[in-house]
Amino acid sequence: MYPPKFGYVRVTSLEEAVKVLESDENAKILAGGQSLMPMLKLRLIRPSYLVDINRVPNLSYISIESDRIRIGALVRHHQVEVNRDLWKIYPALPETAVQIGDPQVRNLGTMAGSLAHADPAADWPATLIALRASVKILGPPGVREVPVEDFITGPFTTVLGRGEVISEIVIPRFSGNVKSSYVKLERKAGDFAVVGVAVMLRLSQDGSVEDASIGVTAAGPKPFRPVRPRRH
Amino acid sequence: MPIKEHLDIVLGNSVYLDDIKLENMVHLYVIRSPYARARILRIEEPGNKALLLLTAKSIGNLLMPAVATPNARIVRMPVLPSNTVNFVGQPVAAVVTESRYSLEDISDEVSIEYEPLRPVITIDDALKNEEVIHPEIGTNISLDVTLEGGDTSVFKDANVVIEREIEQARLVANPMEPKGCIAYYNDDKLLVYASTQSTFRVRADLAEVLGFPIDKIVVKAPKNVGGAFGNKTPAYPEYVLAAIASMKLRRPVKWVETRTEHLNNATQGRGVKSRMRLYAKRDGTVLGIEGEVIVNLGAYNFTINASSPIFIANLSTGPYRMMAAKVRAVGVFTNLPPSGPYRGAGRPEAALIHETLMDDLADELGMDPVEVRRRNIIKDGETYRTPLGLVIDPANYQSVLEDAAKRYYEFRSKYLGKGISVVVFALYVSTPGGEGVKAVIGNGKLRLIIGSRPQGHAHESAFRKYASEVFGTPEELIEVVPGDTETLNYGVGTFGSRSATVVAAAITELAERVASRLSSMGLSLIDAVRSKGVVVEEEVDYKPSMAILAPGAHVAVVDFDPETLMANVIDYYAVYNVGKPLLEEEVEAQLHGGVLQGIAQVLWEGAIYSDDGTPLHTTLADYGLPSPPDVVYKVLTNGLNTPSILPGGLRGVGEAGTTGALASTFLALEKAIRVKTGVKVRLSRTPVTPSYLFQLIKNDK
Ligand SMILES: Cc1cc2nc3c(=O)[nH]c(=O)nc-3n(C[C@H](O)[C@H](O)[C@H](O)COP(=O)(O)OP(=O)(O)OC[C@H]3O[C@@H](n4cnc5c(N)ncnc54)[C@H](O)[C@@H]3O)c2cc1C
Repeated sequence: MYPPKFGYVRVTSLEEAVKVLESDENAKILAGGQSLMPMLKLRLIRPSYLVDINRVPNLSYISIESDRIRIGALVRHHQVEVNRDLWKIYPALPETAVQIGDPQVRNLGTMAGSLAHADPAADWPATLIALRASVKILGPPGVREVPVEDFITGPFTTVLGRGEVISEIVIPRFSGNVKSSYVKLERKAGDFAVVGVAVMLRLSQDGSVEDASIGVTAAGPKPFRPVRPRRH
Repeated sequence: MPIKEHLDIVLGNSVYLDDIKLENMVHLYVIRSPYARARILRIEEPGNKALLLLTAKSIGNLLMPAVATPNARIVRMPVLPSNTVNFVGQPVAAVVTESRYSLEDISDEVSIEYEPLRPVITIDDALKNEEVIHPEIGTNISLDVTLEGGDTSVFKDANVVIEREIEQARLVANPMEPKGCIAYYNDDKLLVYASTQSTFRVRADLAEVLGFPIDKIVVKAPKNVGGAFGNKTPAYPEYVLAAIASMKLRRPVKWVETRTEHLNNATQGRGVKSRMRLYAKRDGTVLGIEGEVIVNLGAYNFTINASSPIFIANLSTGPYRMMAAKVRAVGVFTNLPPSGPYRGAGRPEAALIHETLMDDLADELGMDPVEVRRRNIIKDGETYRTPLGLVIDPANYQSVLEDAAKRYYEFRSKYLGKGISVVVFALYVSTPGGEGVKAVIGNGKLRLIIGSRPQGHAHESAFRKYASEVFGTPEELIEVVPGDTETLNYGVGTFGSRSATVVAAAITELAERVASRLSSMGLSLIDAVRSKGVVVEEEVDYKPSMAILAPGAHVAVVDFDPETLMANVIDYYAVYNVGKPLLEEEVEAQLHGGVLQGIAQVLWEGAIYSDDGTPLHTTLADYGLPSPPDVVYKVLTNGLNTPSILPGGLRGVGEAGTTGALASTFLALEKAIRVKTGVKVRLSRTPVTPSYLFQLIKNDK
């Protein structure tokens, strides 16, 4: 329960983090530490350096624009939980946040960290897949954007390459009557999901469904979008 | 007004073992077996980076104490094994370093070579005796005795015979503060601080293992012990290692258990398989029980586990009158951590056995579950000797049942479509051994030094209030101090629902003793308190001749979701008889905590091992420890107190919550499943996981 020796670098910009990660492939970003620190204490990982991004300015934004929502790499689960606009636009987002772990975890853990960690039972991926979100990645060659469902490639693995970091999560907004929700089945309060399902629906004026999108977590090696939802 | 010691704890003003830092202190880390069963081939030392490396070779073949039991084959746990490791987590070697941080780095460099052997994990495997863990005794069976009493020929007059088999998973104690100790050998004396329920027991154990004179050992405990639940009574191999390390280094040596270690270290609780038959007449009169109780003792006899099957067997007749009983009590060795007392330590196991049988009988006869119990319960005011010889002192079992019955019927009409149960039990209060209490009077204070050790219990406030009553002195003049092996001649410790009962009894006798001594000195108590210097020092080592029991009845309401196969307790009622409550809110608090644990055993908790003995409960989340958001019910309690025959008249409550809640939740869940699915399931294990229910309901459909 005591970590092995590791180095520590505090960076003041994501560009700086990219440089450190590019030069040392065993260095790891430290965001909320809610997945990283337990693994470190259990000696499951032995990073050379922790690259602490917590002091990078202007990364804690939830920016609500007309056609999209941008969530910065340091936005904590708790910020999503208490954001009134999100409760109106996409209740699935705060509904997901409140069901993650306990208050301590939610005060520190980040959405970006959860995606990068890619636990096959993590909650965010289901919701972000249903909302057709994508991950903005900053790397040595520049910026690229990958849909969440392609970003996670398997248990604890993502498309992040050497030197790449998540800079933000981008969630598109749709016009009209949009509904969303996240439902999590857990054995005990605060547990990881037995299964989690998020749904987004776009309704036409008469209430019929124009468009539906679903994300599922904890039901396979990685979160996924059931492409042909069957009727029962 | 919040209770003083609780406020200290909540505000961070208490002291735990790891807060104690002695000058020049070094740290010990234990290297543990990754195998459930393996031969140790080679231990390679880590060069000279450690201050000390301890192995079986360097300390010799030292064995931990185990309480002897007649007719048991006792195999004691080595402090460090020389040939074979017998459970994942068993200490194999220890390193000592200057800093806590370098410990695990250096231990990583100690390479140990093993040759894995086929382990024995379950009770059924152990009974097969295909693999024998301890060849020196030629069997995996440590204990196999049959307890019998009354006229068992009445069994043939039975109109109905009920049988139920239940296997309860092992449980981990999980106090918030894991175990730990500091050993400091100095000037020919061994000073030990331990996070313990009993400084006296730790001292006796260390003296026995080390072959050290008992008067050369002092054991103290920090101001607070952060929970214990039976897990912190004896000394552990780690304490012996710390003591040996300190003797070698002549420096204080600290060992603190990590959570990961705790999950797979001695001792674990439950791990009990029972098969019990109940014989009864058509009118619901119970004739007796017959069957067996088998305990998974783990790899070794340790502390009191050798006798645990007998304890459960003896309590299996519950608070009911029976003509005869015949119970085989078996203890088997497996390649799991040694078992030991845990929260109820046999009481909840027994209550589950007799209460499932009572409900099955009601079912079979189409009788009301209350009526079946009513017909057989021990009468109010009756002294009852069970067929197996346990004497149940006079109390109010009938009244306690009737009070719970009222609530049971009310819940039945209030909660339609839910599972509702009522259970009754007789809580065995471990009074034997009694307790030491000393009064030191003078300098403005009546100081009471008590042998019990609070682990978050409000011993100081409770006994100050009680002492104020029996001494007839204002509380402000009284100071209660938990004692240790230095400040008391005699002490036992806090476990088995005993402390309020025995300490209050000891204080009662002490008050009389002090009064007569003061009158012979011609002093009033208040004069003695006010005098300069200590004028009276008096210790009472109170030792009652018998155990007493405390009636209890619980009512649980469980809601079950047939789609997810998950359940929740939604309402709860508990009746108790503590004889005389010292602090009412503390009695309630004991029940609240215990009830949650009983519920948790049914719904979530389990130390589960794979076939090769690998623990699958590697974290608290996997283990299923409940947390505050899981408490989605309220517990209403009611005291129907009748004095016991002991001085002071108290009865215990510490294990009452767990004891009632295991059986009540189990039965309410069973009923809820029947209501919601129409399938007449009979549960036969804990925890009752959704995957187990899926199999059960699918097979039944
Ligand atoms: C007790 C407990 C309960 C939990 N329960 C749940 C739950 O119910 N549901 C759930 O979904 N999760 C749960 N979690 C996990 C939690 O959500 C974590 O916060 C999250 O998985 C990781 O976010 P973090 O900011 O803490 O990342 P960290 O732990 O700091 O990092 C995690 C990984 O992501 C990498 N990383 C972090 N940020 C970036 C970035 N910007 N770019 C690239 N890589 C990055 C790190 O290098 C590391 O490999 C729980 C955790 C705990 C401790």
